[in-house]
Amino acid sequence: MSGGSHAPSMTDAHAKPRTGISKWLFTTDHKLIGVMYVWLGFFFFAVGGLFALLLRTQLASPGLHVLKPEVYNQLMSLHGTFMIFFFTIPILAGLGNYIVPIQIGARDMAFPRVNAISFWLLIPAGLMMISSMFLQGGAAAGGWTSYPPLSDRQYSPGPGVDLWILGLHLAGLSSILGAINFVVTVTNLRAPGMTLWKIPMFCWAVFITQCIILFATPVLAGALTMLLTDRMFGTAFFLPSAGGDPVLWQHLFWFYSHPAVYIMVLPGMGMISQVLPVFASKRLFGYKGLVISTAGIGVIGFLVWGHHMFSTGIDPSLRFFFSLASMVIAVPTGVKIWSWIATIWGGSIRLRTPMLYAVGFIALFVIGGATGVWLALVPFDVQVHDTYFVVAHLHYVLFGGSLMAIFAGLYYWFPKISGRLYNEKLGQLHFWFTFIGMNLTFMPMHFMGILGMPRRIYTYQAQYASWNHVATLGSYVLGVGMLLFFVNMLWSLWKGPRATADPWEHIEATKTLEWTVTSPPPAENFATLPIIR
Amino acid sequence: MKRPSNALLGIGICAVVLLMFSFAYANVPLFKLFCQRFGIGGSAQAGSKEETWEQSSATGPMSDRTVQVKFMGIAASGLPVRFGPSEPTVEAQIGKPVHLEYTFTNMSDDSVFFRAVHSIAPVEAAREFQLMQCFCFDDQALGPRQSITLPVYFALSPRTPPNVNELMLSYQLFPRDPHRALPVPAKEAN
Repeated sequence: MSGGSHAPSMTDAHAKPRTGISKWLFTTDHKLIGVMYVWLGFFFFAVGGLFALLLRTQLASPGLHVLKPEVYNQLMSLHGTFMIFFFTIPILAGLGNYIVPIQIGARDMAFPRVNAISFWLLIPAGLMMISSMFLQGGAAAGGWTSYPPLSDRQYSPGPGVDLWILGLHLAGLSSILGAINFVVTVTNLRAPGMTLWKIPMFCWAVFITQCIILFATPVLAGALTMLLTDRMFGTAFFLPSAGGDPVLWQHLFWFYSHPAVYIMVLPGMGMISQVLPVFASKRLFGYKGLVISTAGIGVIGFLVWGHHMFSTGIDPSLRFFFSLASMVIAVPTGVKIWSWIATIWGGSIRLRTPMLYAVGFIALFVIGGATGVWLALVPFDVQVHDTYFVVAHLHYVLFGGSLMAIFAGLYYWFPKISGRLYNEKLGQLHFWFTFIGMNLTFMPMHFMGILGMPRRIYTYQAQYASWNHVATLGSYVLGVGMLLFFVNMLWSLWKGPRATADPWEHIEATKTLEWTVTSPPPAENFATLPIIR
Repeated sequence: MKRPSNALLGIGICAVVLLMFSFAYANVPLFKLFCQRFGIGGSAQAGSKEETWEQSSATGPMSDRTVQVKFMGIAASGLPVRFGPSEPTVEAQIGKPVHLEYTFTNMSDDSVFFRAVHSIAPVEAAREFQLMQCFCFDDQALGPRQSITLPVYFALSPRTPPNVNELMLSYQLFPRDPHRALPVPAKEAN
């Protein structure tokens, strides 16, 4: 796929490389920034995961008092906020940061300093979120959706919601700056000969995701600004008593937040499209179909936000439209799933940890997708609205989808990024704990929801107890699995055997450019820029 | 194909970002227009008092058909106002203006300031509900233990969907601080 010479290395032009802490603090290298994103993401994953374990402990049996109700609400809100805005989106940006420039044959991102700003903005953003827990009134407690009037000053008078808004503003700015960088990088910095239909699937997925961010995230920024000025400067965008409308917030919020589901899932789908062919030793089936379906999901994803609002009294004709559009999303998603199955069909399969996660992703994402189609049906949605069924659905999509894909990608690229091999047995054990724990935790939530158990409530009636016992047990299994993961990663970083340039022994059809350079890749990635033939 | 320079492409993308940020704000009037046009979210096609009689004539000819209109009301938590309509329900003849009165009583020994916000259900009939005069357009003030009676005039347009036989007009009272633009908790306002 690559070879020949094109341009001289720029390394010689640089001053003496920095070492120690300043190497990380002042770097504009996409690889170091990518690694910092991953570390930061896992920090928030650990905090958000700990919150989830506390929530599940509180819910283990009815009538427990492990957490105070107001603390439960805060932890529940921060769990969602951390997992979405401070784990999933940043860690995908981190893996994209590390891998995309190498896969397209570039030395770095188009705007390296902007890249560094994007990362460092997340630190004050995260600090604002965390510090709000220790202020008077505590952190934001209106869920990750923060619907007014609950998030208005009248009902949330403390500074928690203000810090939540400002933290999200910074995280959003980080995301937007990153998106500008990715789009310019993939458009302009591709190696000579890398035409559109030669761009690796992961880069396509990241590129389309960043386009979604460019169109969706500014709308959330606008809505957040309105909420902030409603709270602080006397405007009334969302206050019904002064002529505003709280439903407008829901429209704006979901105009961003539904595409955000694809912001969190599409890069994962790109990783799966990279991992499956490698471990089936076959060429990816239906590459162009996968690219077009990814773009299709990106476009249709902007037309379905109203399915989160079926119970707000929106017009029946709009309900019909949003219901139909939501079901249409299953078509490009189905194209992907069939392409992945066709890719591994008849392949020489190696069930290594990344492959286990990739296959686990397909299984769990299909369940999340199927319940998504049910929820697109208005009568069913209205019936289970705000129940645990929705919690089950969203976790099958975001945990079963995004997180499983992130683990697949992380195990796949770990040798490339760290230059060391992880412990395969521990990796596989981590997978089984995750897969079993995930299903134990979230499958019962479907049944709780259908039985009528409301979400976002700190306790419940006794009739839901048995399924809640199972879900809490499952969450502890997940917790043990994640401990195994952290032990494996840290131990392997320190003591793992050295990785070769291509430890997975790719066949030529699946070998992307990062596997042609050393592990970890050298400064500026390539001694001479590759030419794609 | 020649690629644009990084800076040019970057600036172009920044323009998209600014456009989408503005789009969020553009939704404020657009959303209002959309709701008024389609009567979505229970908002009737209500206008100012000057338009009242123009809208009345727009209700068209009367018909023999009647629709039962029920009235509901709720005061925000902590607002010491008791209120209710002169009749709990009326049989409204299509096209014929209906007049009723609401009585508000301040149950406390302090002055109260509030505003009423109305909504109409079902939504598909809300756009045909012509609210001609309503206290919900103004801020209200009541002295200690004071009572006032305020009129409501409305009519149903001939386009009221034939499957709608029953309508609900409900009011929610929000406390107001007369010195501030925003609604506030009742204990602060009064």
